[in-house]
Amino acid sequence: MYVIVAGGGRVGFGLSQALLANGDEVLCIEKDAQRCAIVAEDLGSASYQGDCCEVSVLEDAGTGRADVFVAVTGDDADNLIACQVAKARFRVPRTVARINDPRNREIFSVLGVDATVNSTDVIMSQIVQEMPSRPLTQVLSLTGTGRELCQVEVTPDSPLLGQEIRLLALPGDSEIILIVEPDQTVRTQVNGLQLEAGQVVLAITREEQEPALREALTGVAPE
Amino acid sequence: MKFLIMGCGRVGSGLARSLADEGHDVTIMDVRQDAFRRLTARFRGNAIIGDGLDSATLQRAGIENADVFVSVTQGDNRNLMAAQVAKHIFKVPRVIARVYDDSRADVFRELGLQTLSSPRFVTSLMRDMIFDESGDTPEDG
Amino acid sequence: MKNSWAGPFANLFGGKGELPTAKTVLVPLVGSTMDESALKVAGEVARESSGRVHVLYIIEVPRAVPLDDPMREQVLNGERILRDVEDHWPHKKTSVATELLQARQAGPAIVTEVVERGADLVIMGIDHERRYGDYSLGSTTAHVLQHVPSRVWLLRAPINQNGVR
Repeated sequence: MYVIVAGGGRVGFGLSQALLANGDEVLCIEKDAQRCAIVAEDLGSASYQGDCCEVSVLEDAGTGRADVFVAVTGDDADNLIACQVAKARFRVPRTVARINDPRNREIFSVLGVDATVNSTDVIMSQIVQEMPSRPLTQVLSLTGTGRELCQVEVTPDSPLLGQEIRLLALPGDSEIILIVEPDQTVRTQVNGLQLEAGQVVLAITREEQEPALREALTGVAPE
Repeated sequence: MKFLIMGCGRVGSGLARSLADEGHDVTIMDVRQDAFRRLTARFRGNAIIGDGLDSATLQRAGIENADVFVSVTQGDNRNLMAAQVAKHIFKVPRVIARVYDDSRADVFRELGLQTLSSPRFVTSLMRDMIFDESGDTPEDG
Repeated sequence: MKNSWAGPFANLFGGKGELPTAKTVLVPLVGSTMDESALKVAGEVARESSGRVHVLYIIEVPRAVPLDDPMREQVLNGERILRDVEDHWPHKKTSVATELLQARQAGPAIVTEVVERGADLVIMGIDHERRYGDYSLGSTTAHVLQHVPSRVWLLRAPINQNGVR
């Protein structure tokens, strides 16, 4: 797979190294000559100095045969425009942009960027994962559907222990899709089950239904 | 007509002043307050400090009722992003972005965005002046 | 009176041969008017020191195509040039090996070859190039000078003979 990584900062550099280690063909484009020289020390010919939003640079980079174009500079506008040029002019099948301002997610999606990664979200979910009581964690945002995959761990002090799953009052079109039992058994037929301490419940929901879903699964009202 | 201008540089401030003088409802935005020094004291429009890439700032500037949105900051990508937000998210009827990079301007023109590539425009005017055999130049004529 | 001070050049004429020695001399052909001179000097040095010469022809592959693209025309041309070197190699006891490589950039490819072949001398012939009104060493030569671990000799063409842009 040929992946073009626009932006040679920490994220772009690290991503390029990981992709190369994975055996992919990579080109990391960095605008700043000094930064590019540092990146080139490690990436060699897999680095390229130029402005990733300029058509001529993307042409030299062979963007026309790229399978994926990833824009991970620290500037949301740069990431958006680079992805749009890659898609509109070079027909790159998949464009992925890093967004630094989470409020830009919808804009990027409307403007044709295939997927966005928000570093704040990633770090947040990591932190939440590490916290002792994890009320509800977003596992994955399902691009294009407006929905997301969430998980809740049933705690030993949950007021809902013993509650039948099918009687839970889930909000809107939220749905429980599977339950991982404390012994790691995965159950996809969930309706006959009861909530037990140590279970992990995976559900599909919408962002606005998150608080209500959390309440439905933990029995604790949002603060 | 309600005009929203992003970027209070030479072009943005000049455009804002002339439109306001004609009696139009003009709001101009810039991230730096000192950019507004280019507006004269008698400027009758609104000046808002804020990032035109931020939807909250755009709403505060009244983008939902704007008839025209013009982005003329120093950054091509900022101009193109803001213009697309105005066009596709806030459905502003007329949107124009100033772009320095000709090739980038072409890409977004093909995507249906009105772009003005200033170097190409100046080059073409310059050629007209050079080859104007009458000897009159539009500027000093 | 004989000078008793042992200066840095005391053994100037006391060594084994006329030229400094090298076991493996690497010559990257870069298409300059000095390529032939580079080959000649490399042959002499290798002969003097019972070494060998490794000649490199690198095709820079544009990123618009994969690195292993057939590059038919360039490969044919490269093979012709390398065969020409072998056919006209004047030394009987000093071996010459040739190699055709495809790389994104010649500079890093030369560095890799020097390291892999354990070459102890690189000889390169370059032209005097001007670009945008100023002298330009060229990115390949600059990279070689900065990164090749072994000795590097540059043979530069006289000014004005070539390469005026």
